[in-house]
Amino acid sequence: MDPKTIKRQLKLFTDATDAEVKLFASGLQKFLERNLNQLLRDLERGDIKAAEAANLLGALFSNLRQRGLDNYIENVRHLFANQLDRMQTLFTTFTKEKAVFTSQDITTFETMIKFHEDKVFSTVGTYVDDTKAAFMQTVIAGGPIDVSQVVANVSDRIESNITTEFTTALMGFNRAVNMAKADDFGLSLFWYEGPDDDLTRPFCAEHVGGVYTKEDIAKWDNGTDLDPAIYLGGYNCRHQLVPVTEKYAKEELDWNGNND
Amino acid sequence: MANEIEFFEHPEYSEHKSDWTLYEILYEGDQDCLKSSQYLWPHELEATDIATPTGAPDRPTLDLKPGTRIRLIREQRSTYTNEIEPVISRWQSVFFKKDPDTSEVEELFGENVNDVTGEGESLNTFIKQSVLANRLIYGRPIIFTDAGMEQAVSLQDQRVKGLRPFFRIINPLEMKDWQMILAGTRKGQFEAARFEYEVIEPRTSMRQQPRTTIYSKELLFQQTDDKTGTYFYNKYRLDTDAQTKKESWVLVSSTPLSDFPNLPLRSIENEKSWIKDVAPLALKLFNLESGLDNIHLYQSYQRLFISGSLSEEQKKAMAEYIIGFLPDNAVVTSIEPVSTQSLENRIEAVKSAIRKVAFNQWRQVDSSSKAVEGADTQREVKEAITSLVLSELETLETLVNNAIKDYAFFATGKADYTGKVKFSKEIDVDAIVEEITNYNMIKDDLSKLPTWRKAILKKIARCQNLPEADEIIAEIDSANFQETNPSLGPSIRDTLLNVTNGPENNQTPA
Repeated sequence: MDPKTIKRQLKLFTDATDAEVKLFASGLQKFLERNLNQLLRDLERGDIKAAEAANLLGALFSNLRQRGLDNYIENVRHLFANQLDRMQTLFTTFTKEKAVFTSQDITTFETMIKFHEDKVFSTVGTYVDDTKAAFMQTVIAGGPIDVSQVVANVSDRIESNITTEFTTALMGFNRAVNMAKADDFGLSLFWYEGPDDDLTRPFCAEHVGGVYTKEDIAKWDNGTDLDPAIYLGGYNCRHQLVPVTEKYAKEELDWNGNND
Repeated sequence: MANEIEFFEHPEYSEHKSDWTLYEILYEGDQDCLKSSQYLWPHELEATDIATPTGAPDRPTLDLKPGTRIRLIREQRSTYTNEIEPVISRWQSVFFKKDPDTSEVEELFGENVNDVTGEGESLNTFIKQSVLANRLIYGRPIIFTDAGMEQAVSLQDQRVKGLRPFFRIINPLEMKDWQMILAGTRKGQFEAARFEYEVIEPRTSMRQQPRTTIYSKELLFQQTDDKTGTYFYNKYRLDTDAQTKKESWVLVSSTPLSDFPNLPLRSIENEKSWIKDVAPLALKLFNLESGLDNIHLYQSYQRLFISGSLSEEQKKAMAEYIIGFLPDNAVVTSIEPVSTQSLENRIEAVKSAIRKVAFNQWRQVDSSSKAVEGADTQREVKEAITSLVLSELETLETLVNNAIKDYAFFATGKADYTGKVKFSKEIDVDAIVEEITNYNMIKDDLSKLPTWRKAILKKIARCQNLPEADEIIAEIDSANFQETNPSLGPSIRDTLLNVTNGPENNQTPA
């Protein structure tokens, strides 16, 4: 398959991942807004006492879970599963065979996905705590409460936080698996692929289009706290390391054996 | 035959007896009754019997069919957690936080105020325990006032013989037939009633085997005028013919008593049990916990298999009942233990629903409802519970005072007794509402702090005054309350395996 076609396919995969993450993050924000508005509407009564408000707020997270928060957060596993599916497509493109995932691999992925699901719970928990604090202050002060306004103010951050977190996490997952499975296929070279436009970081602009060995990659420094071998340019990096054969690198990517 | 006595069941008795039986079994926690298929719902595997297994010739087995064996094992593993008794106890404490005021009637009862039933129950205990409990459990408390009338021919005779009156609470499952007066000054009172009960016949020597006999009391009231009538007190015994084994009723005694104002039988009619909505949830909980325990106990045993050609002697030597044997080249597929998380989630949801439904009777909340109560509804809860309990107290007070009038007639011969017991209307509904409210206020925090959660649970357990409190507290201490995120859909592993088409162990591509 020629590089242009691969680039197009990779862009489709990236766009699909972005769309899924956005759908998940915005869906989560809407879920929280809708349910919190319903759960807390009684706070808008002018005569509500602090004890009654505490009662409503105290069980907020538990009530969100009763209303289906767990079901929603389970979508995280599908985000990662879709990434695996796309990686399989890529491997098949180059090697005509599917990557093999051992029991150990599955267990590792399972642990990692559980970690991310727990993180979302924790993020939602923090958001709920912020909401509780915002409301209790207003109840104690005795001022009028606009539930939808308070909920909206606190929830503005949820969608962007979740989007950044999962875009980074999924791309990182993608690259980590690529790196690990490349060995199985005897692929030791990696093509730094992705957009080169106004949004591209200097680190990525320097490397995009190039072909690198694992040893080259190990020496990178992207100036962030994220491992460049996995996260390349850093948060929200849109680039990929595509494992390629030496033949492909030389014939299709004009690689001359070094990166001077 | 012409002289054969036949008794019947009232249509309402036939309609309600299965419900009353259920409430009674759930309240008393009768483990043996609960294991019948009516309450411990059979699994499909328990209903099928495919083949009869055979045991080794020198080791006789029970020769049970697989379905029966599975059922017996599950029954052994199933234990009923009694959620109904604490609910009833809680309501009893709400109704009678203060004892009834019996000062007006103490002169009538005299020293018998400490034993109104002839079995050591004081008047207060009779009201708070027997009468109220029957109202809550069955919806129908029935008080029968008696003075051993089968031994007397009149009230005067009763007094001469020193037969003092006493109360007896009749279980609705005992009173099989009745008739109410439909018009006149006695409208709503009993005109006739029949109940059955068991008696262990008196023995003259401990060398005699105990014998249980079923008796039936038939009470009839024939009105003479607005003020008096004749009270017929008939007693029957169920005899079994030694030859034919046929059962038949035999009249033992018949006592007509004239100048009675009414049948000394009082009840509350056409009311529902206070646990009618909770009972199905308690039964569901029992079955869910049975499923959970069955899975856990099954999976705690490792299954071993040996593949190869072994002789029968070799198998016996290797304890053939512990190890499974497979023919040559057989492949054992490991079956992953099933996750019990969804069961555990459902059990928690049902327990929560029991608590909510038991103390919010009038709302008929769906046990799977995800509705959350706002502050308005919380206030509504408190007001509605208060008015419900007050209304119920008035009804119970009237019932008890009517029974006391019957008692007074037996004791004094006068039908115009005016003394009354007064129930305290100072009820503490706050205790229940506060309990639910406090729990809600700190639910989120409780779930994050296992130590705090255990402490609160232990405190609640002590408040219930259950006899098993020590065991419950020990269980709470040893429980692992680590918070995990429950998975309600396919597991993470299943989701991954669907995409990767199953993991291959240590294989690399060619």
